[in-house]
Amino acid sequence: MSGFQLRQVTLYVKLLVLMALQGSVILIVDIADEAEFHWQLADRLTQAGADVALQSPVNSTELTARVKALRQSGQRVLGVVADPTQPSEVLALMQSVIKTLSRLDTLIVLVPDMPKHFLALGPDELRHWTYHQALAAITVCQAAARELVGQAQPGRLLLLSFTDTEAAPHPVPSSFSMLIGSMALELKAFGISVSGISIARDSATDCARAVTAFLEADLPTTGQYLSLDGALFEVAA
Amino acid sequence: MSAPLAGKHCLVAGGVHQLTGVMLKYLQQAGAATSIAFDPLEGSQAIALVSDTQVDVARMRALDFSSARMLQSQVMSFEPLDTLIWLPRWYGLSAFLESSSADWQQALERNFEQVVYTLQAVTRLFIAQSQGGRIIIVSLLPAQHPHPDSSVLAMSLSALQTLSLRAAHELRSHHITVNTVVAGWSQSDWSYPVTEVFDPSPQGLATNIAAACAFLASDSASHMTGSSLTVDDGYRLHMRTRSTLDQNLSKVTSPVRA
Repeated sequence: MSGFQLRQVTLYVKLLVLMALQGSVILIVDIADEAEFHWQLADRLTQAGADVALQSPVNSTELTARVKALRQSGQRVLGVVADPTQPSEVLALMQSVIKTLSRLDTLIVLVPDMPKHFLALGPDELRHWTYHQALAAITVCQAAARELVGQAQPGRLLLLSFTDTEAAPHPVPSSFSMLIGSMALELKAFGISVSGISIARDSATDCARAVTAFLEADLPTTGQYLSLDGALFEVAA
Repeated sequence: MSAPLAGKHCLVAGGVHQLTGVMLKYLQQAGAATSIAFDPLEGSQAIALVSDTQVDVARMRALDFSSARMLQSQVMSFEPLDTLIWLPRWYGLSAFLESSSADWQQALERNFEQVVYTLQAVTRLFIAQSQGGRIIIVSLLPAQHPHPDSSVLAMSLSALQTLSLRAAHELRSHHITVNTVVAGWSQSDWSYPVTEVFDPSPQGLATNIAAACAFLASDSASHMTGSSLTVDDGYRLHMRTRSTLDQNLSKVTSPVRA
């Protein structure tokens, strides 16, 4: 293959990848309080051609400003204030997305992984993670899955769990890995894929790029829980 | 049977069901003194179980699993303890799309939050006793292998398993081991809901689960921590075949409640 032909093929593949998210509607719910990652991911997804809905727990000037900035990409961007710990607000969030953007294709939930310590883990911290974060993520996934099933078309649930690499010198499975597996088994019949990605907190920019690449690649995978490391960066290159 | 647990005091805590009775009896036959700890609302079930099983229990304790502070105070008053064996308190099955908020709340409370409080309280007792200790958590196969209709169970038990691995690492310096026994189906019949491991519990399988716990409580397992023993007749190997998965998906029917 000549150099010219190789460049043509590379450009064609890049265009195919770019088109993978064109017109796709993606909702990002941030339960991990990872605002910077939230915005960077939304930015990358709109640059990749997706319409994006952003959930925020509070109505702020920052949300308004960010939505306005994201709209510069030419994509539809919606900002919705909703408390993910409240089932009624989660339902209203889904309805708002459908009403404004006509449908939902992918849900991305940002959630912190379990606190790293055991004996020092106090009741307040434990309860916060269990009922305000983990349970909220489950509620959001359930609402989105019901919406996707109702739409009777393929969809995706992607759960991003954030971890502190310094505090975890030894690898343990994510507390969400079996949830992802069980959901994947049950939702496969509806054409809904479920995946999880574990993200290190100290690499937001690189991780946003890699998550976008993962979505663009549209791999036929479900029930998998991936740790974000250098391998995914090659997909984005 | 020899007495590998002679001189040891084992506390069986958490769920009160048929497996609890089998566990108490087996531990006693292995030479251990046994106690049982349960939620106050399950007191009459616990009394009936001990009576039916005809096992000689040293202590029957109603503990407030929902309050970390109260539980700590109750546990610190215990006589010397060597082993804690925790049995699940919530073991329902339901489709993910149909599972209710109440199911999730209850499963996370009973299989995760309250277990963490109990493990922490007993750990502090072990540390105060300065002679190490054994923590054994009985779990179910969906905590390690995805299975239809088990998302609530899987999430609550796998969260506990993740935390138990961290506890195992953290407590090594105190000579406290933390291990898990994962129960699954028995080969005689793979068609019943996995939650029937607890009640009604197939006799051979229940005895095997108790035997696995007794091993982990014995001196023979003093260098094991962060480990997981699976008692399932190899089901987790068999379930990976497509035909088995399809069979299981078709067999799932109504929810089973604890």
